[in-house]
Amino acid sequence: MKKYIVDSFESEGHFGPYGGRYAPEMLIPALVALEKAYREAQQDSSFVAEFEKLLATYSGRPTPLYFAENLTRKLGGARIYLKQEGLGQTGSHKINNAIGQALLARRMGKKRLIAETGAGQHGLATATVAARFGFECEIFMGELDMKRQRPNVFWMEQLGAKVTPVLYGTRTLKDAVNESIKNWIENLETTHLLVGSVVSAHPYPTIVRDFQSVIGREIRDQIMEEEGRLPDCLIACVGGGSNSLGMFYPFLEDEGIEMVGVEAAGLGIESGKHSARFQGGKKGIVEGYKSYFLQDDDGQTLTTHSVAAGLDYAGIGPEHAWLHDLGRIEYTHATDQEALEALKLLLKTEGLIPALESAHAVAEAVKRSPGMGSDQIIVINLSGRGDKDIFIVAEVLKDKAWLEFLKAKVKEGYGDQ
Amino acid sequence: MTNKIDRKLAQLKQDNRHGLMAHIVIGYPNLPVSEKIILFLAEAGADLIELQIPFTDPLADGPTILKANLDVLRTGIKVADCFRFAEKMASRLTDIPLLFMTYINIPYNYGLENFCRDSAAAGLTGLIVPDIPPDEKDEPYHDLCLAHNLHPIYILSPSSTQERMKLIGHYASGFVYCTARVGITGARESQIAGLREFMASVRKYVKVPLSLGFGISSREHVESIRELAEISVVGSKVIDIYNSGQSEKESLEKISSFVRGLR
Ligand SMILES: Cc1ncc(COP(=O)(O)O)c(C=O)c1O
Repeated sequence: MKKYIVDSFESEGHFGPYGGRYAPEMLIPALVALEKAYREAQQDSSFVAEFEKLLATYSGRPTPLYFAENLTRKLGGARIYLKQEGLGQTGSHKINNAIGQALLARRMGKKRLIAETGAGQHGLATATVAARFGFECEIFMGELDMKRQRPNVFWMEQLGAKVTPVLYGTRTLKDAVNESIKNWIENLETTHLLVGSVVSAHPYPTIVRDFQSVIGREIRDQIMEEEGRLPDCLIACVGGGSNSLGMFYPFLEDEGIEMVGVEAAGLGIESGKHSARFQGGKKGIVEGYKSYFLQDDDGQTLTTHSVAAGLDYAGIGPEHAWLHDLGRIEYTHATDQEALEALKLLLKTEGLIPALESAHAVAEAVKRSPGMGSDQIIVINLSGRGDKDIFIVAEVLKDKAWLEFLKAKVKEGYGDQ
Repeated sequence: MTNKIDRKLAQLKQDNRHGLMAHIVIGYPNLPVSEKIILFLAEAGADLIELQIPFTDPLADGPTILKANLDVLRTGIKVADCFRFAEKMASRLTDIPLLFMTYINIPYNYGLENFCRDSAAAGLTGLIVPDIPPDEKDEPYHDLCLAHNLHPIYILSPSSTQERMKLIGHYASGFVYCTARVGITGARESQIAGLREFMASVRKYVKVPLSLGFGISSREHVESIRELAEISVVGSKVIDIYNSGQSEKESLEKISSFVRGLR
């Protein structure tokens, strides 16, 4: 009898009391059809084979598991491995799920893909598969996120996607999610909503988790090859929760393995400007699912903050809520400042640029590793690489040379000719 | 115990009259004016009124109502204010059934049981909560509504399958709210025909009266659907009209003449 894994089709999308399908009636038929198509595809060996082939040859899987020797020495505790999801096509784990759902959308005869995005990584992955498979594509992105993740906006547009700014509410991920759902309601016939994390109404949390669990499966094989045993501790950052669940899921029933999800503490939990749902969030039903949400005493969702746009979200995947309550996964948090320090550390010690999101996971390892034995093993999921964050990191690090460069470019009349 | 909605529907039937349900967002543009809007709507002949409790994430609402929700929330309105407001309206409009419309997180956070109890105590007669389907078994929303003599109003749309129609038909209480996404402004025959087909299949499975809403803006629209549904719904149009006025007085008069024009 499995203790932590539920058959979410049998439970109709419920993970304990969480999850479910709290969707407007208009969406129910589309969600039912998606569930049916997915369950059929799962049983279809040609679907699975095509998915795996694309992951290998298009995205570049398996992504390496790298022994971070310098970081290990520097922190002086456990042996630290980095799962390099950032080396996949589009620079983050988001591509795994995007490829899977694109194949599913094609199977359902859809012509158009839409998606919400925060950091822009999921939007970029969606725009990429849309170009690859010939879908029309529209990405909804909060106005604030468009500003802080401009490089991704540029590439999405070059890939042929329309990037539509969301101008209301928090102007970040939560409202992009709302807007994508509304657009779906208007275009159900032609369009597949390519949800980017383990959130939303059933069956999305299950589908996204399944497509992402390739991360954990690979880690299992790779660490056995390297070390001849399973790791002691897995660490990943948690926005909606897809890279973490993809990493943790294949290890859930291995009781000895500690799992740590790192939420964004922003300017500090006590400041109220953060996105740590398990620090002050409470149960709610928003955007189609029941989980923990940051909300006020009336149930109005709160404005969140994180330097990492991909973590800046009021809700968290329902399966995380369940694993949290069961005590299977420990949830901690890292501030903007700690994430930036971790980013600089990884740059200097290993020559790797993590995404700001992933830097939160590194920050947790910095706190945890020194207390661990040198015979213990930590695996950190580097969910993405940080090239996309150049503007925001340069700004917070107050990098004079970069600022001068931008000014000079403008003065030169950049792009005017 | 009969519900005011049932009495109203029986009355409409007896008088062979097509009903009109109007929608407002509580506190838009502010509490005193939204009170006036309701009184004008009642005066102009609305038969039922939907009072929307604002929410930060109104998933099924278009831009007009979404903006109204967010604008009202910025004024700091609380759910408790909405209850007080509804109670006051219910005591003034004894003839007109009032329904709360909102999203499930509001009642869930309030406590479903308390929400139903307090809604009934405030004089409301039904709830319209789009994001709690009746077959979502985890929350006893349906049973709690019935236990407190509130009609849980469910929704069907042209995307609904026959299976869903059957299911909604099974749970339907009071009336069923049908939405047609195809706007019929400048109505074309084909759209009316599609609508006719949709409503006919709904009738097959749903035995309670039907309401129908889709950007109704003229008497012709109402005329064209009176054979399809017992009730027409005017939603965002009321807010649009309010916003189009140069002054509060003009806005209220515009709403009034709009609603009168539909009858
Ligand atoms: C690199 C990276 N990591 C993590 C996340 C957070 O999402 P999730 O928690 O679903 O993995 C994002 C989201 O945009 C991301 O771009």
